[in-house]
Amino acid sequence: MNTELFTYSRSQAMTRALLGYLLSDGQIRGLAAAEDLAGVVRNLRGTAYGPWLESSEAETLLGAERTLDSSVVDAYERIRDSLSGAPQSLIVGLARRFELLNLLAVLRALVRQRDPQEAAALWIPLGEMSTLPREALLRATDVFEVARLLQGTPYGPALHHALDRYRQERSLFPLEMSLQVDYYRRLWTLAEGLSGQDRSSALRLLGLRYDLLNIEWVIRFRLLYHLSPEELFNYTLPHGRRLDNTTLRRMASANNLTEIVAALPAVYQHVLAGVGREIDEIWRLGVALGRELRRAAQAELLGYPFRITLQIAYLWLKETEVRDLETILEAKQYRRPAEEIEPLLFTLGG
Amino acid sequence: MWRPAPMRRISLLVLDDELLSTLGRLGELGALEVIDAPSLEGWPDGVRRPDVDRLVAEYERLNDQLGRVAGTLGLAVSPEELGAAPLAPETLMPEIATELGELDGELQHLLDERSAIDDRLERLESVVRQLELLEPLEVDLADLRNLRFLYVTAGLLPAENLTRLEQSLYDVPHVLLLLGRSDRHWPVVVFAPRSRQQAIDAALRGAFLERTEIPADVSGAPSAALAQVRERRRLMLEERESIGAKLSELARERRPEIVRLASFIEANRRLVNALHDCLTTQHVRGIVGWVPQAELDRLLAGVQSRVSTAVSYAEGPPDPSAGDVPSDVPTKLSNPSWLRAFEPLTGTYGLPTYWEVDPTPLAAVLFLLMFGAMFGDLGQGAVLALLGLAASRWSILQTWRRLGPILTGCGLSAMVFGVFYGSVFGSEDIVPALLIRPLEHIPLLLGIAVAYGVVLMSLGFLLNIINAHRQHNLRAVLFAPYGLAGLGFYWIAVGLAISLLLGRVTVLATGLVLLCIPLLLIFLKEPLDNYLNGKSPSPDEGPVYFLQSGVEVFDTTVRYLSNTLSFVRVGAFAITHVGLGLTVFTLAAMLANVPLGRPLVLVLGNALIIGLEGLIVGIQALRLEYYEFFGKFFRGDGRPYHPFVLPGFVEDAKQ
Repeated sequence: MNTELFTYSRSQAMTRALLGYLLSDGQIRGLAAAEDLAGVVRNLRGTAYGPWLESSEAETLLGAERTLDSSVVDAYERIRDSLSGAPQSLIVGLARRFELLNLLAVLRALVRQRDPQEAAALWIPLGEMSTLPREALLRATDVFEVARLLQGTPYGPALHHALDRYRQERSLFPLEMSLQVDYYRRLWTLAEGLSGQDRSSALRLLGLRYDLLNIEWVIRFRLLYHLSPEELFNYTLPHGRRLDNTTLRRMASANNLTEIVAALPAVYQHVLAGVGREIDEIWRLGVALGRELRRAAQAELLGYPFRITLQIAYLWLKETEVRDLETILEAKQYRRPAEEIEPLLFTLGG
Repeated sequence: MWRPAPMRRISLLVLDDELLSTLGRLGELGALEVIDAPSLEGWPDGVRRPDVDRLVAEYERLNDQLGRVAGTLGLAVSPEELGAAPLAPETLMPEIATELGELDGELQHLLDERSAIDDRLERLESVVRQLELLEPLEVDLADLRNLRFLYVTAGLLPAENLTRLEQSLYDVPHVLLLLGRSDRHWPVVVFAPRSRQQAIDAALRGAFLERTEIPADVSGAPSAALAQVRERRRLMLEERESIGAKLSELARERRPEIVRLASFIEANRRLVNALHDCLTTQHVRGIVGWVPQAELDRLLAGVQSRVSTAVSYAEGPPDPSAGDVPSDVPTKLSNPSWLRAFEPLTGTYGLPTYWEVDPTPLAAVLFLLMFGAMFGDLGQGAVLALLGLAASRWSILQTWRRLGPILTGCGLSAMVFGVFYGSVFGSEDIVPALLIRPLEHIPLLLGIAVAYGVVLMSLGFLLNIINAHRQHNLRAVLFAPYGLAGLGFYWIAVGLAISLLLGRVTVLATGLVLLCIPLLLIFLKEPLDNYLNGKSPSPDEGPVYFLQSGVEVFDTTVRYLSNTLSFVRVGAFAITHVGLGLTVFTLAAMLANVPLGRPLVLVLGNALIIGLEGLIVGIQALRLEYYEFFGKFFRGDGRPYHPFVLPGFVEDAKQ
């Protein structure tokens, strides 16, 4: 316990301070009620996001979204700098999810034969946490060149494994799944590098996230992509908190949303209570799971403060908040009213 | 020697078409550090940065590409190998890019071929394993391929996917055989009922299995097929070896070309980076930079000899009294050659800013003095001195070559103190002590160590006052804890301590009153400073200031005491050193009857003392120097002087 006190005292103080900058429900509602995109940006300039949105670039949808993404990366950098050793490595590992998103954006552009500048526009700069050769990737002409460029990076082996299937299927799906599953495996290994109670707390919180990802993936792959249970199971993440292999197998073998939900433990059935059982209601699933993630993160703030879970919880709250801000910005681009936007937000109704 | 070389900031104006030749000449002279001029404030409208961002990015890319190519070929191009190169970044860039691209393409082609062979070899290896499994069977492979009720498939499974695959096949009857493991894969064979083929295939697809079934053209009994496949593997290995030979040949043949390209790229890369820092108007280009005053005339004459129309303006030496102390002046140390060997002692702590005293001469003398005092031994010192000489002459490691002179100095200093202490290889019986025997005069030795500390601390105070004075920082000169007020307090406290030790108790009251005066000055430094500057004396932070200042005064006084007492360790280590020598001799005497026992213990004991204690004493001396001495006056956040120099020419700093 004393070790944790020394490890986390500085970081804990900083995280508590950063938590104070998160927006309140009232502020989020105010943003959702803004008239248009310019109104949202104007309102945001009066919040903790003000310094980020000073430039005129932030007045376009894409510019504002990239700026907000940068604020998330900045939060990761601050937390990373306040830590050292295994906790720091785990935070960097969590931040690398953005790197994975960058890589997937490049691969998507190549598979769909789109202009690489589309990927460049979506690229979230991770600064010194990045391991990817950005310029070379954006110049790549096919997936195989990307695989060559990624040799020696953490993404190299996973992409290499999926190339055989890509050759046959010419689809992004095998590339995406191989990279995603590999990323979450490596992240778990990083959490296992922690010690004592810190380790078990981090694994518990990560396990919850893995559960939520598994629920989302099984429902999507089974009901939308119609994958077989045997194939689907291979795309699920081990180490979930409450979803063991038997539950995952039952979910993977289900034929509709009702059966999948019935296979879930009661606590998750409750999470999905508001999601209709028809396939066109599936969009509500992401919102319900996102809200559950926020609820778990908020509960973590009340626990023992000198553990890495406080930092992880803050970062998830920050990420989901920015995701909501981007949802609002996109909706306001088309001047959608607040009552249409609010049901889509993670921050409200949690 | 005591301060960094005086620098001058110069501005050069040249016509548009003479900018490259001017920069080229400056790069040859290697005496100007080019400043990022557009980032400075105060330029009139129309003055801007040249549009060379694309060139800068391209040359960085070419540099990276060349580094990758050379690295892949196992070639290291040292800076000394780079020669002079033509300077025409715009026109040369496409040529360099093409030439390098062709070389890279050739290399990539071979690497791709080798990589493809590696993939094929891995698959073939999996087939070999499958056939080895089937070898005992007396059946034809054709029969095995057409089994009616049994489904057999094989492939390379990513090692990390094995567990999940097995779990996914929990409800499907099957047998999964692992055939040894390569770096990344498990070669596997799966047997299952034909009726479950679809489920098996789906699970294997999900686990990213790369199929490696026995090629259709391999037939006959498994043992015969195995021989065929092994032969294919042998041929493939030969092919791989031939590619390796081609790569080695490519490296050998193209090395001159790579060195030439490296020279071209590096010269033009440096040039475009310098160009990026220039100023441009419609017809005139400007270069701004720092030059050591001693080099100013040579530099201007050198430029004039090439570009007669160049107009130059050298500003006066940086003047802190004119306003804020310029913080961007680079530091170039100007120590005589014998002292340069000791610059790492200062450099490890930091580089002096332009305004600071360069502590290298003092650092060298004081470090050697402390080392010698703690490690005084004629014989062991001689060994260290010889080791230092050997390291500086013959070591293949650059670090050891640099440390060699310091080690020699430490050895010589230890020898001198060894004569003072009368100690040779730990024995005190060989030569008489010229000054003192540490074990016999412990209190005196510790007293001398503390006195040495007082001198060193006082020097630290004085140097801090000099530094503050040079930066026109009156507040730091007068009221800082290591300024005049601090020095006054320290000397009064030392005087008072000496008087009390000598039994003059009557001075105590006067001394304590006197002590309060400098303490009060430190305590009130901000109000006093405000007053001297004609402002309201009340501190900015209000009453909180007095709380903070009170804590600071308390902390400072405690620190004076602890810092001074820290030097006791100089005497303590001198005593320990003699004690260790004594221990070695006692052990040697105990083993006097064992053959070779005594000489062995003496040699090993001395080696241990030289290695281990030498290291500890070195660290302690460095610690005292950095923490108790440098900490008083030396910030060490100077910016090194980096002149613009082209490959093939020697920078001024190294001339």
